[in-house]
Amino acid sequence: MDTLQQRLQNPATRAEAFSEVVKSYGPVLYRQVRRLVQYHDDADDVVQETFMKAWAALDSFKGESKVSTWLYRIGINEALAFLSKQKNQVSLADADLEQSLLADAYFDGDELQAKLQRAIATLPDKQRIVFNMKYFDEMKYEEMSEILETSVGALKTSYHIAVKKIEQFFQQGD
Amino acid sequence: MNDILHNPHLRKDPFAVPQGYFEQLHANLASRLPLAQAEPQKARIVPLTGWQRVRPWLSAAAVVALMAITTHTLRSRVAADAQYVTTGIIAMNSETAESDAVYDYLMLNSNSIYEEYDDAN
Repeated sequence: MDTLQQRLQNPATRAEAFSEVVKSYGPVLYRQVRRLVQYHDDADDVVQETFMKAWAALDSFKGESKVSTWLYRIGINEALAFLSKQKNQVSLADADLEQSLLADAYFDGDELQAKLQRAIATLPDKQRIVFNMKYFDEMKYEEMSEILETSVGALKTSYHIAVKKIEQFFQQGD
Repeated sequence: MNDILHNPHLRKDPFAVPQGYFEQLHANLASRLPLAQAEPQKARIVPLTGWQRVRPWLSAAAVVALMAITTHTLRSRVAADAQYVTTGIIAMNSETAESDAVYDYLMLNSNSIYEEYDDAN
């Protein structure tokens, strides 16, 4: 166990240690969540909920994994829960998504990048997560395996399928 | 377009973050959780005045002086007592009028001494 894990498990030092966790891992967590939910306000909600749940779960955090791995796992689950709730209302794969992103004050991409985001939105949730982690973060499969608790082989397959689907999306020219 | 994903432009992060967001995130969480907010106060270094520097040494010197005076006084008394005893013994041996004072000092009376001698003899 590293020092941060020990300090998180010690009630006397927990608050200060968690404050460091927020500052150290908040930006990366936000990026991963934002790529899944796409809009800043939604990402903010998910990230805050992630930290609230992480705080509540500290007593059960055994320190068997890295703090970042444990935190990102909670964040991914919260993002998936959000997407599941949202699918009942709006389909992110709609053609309007590109226009919506391009009009968003916190989207700096061009039309091609907006189209890629729409292509990613057509993927099943797990494939989206794997694709984002591999394509944008260039994360190693072993690290993804720890976070997603999925075998490296399954992750490689998932990424390969995701790539093929996105390439087909662009080929169809929609 | 099979190589569309090889376009490095597409790997760039298109999502912008509002300025100051992460500081605000911490503040929002701190309002909901008992997070450490303020930086711990650093100890203030206060320079000592001349008197404050000298005082500990003066205190130590005073203790040493007191010990020296006490020791000298005790030695003087012991020496005086020893001389008094010696004087007393001399007086006893010489059977002078001061022998009663010596006996008093020795917490003995003359009768006890003579009785002791009588028993010994």
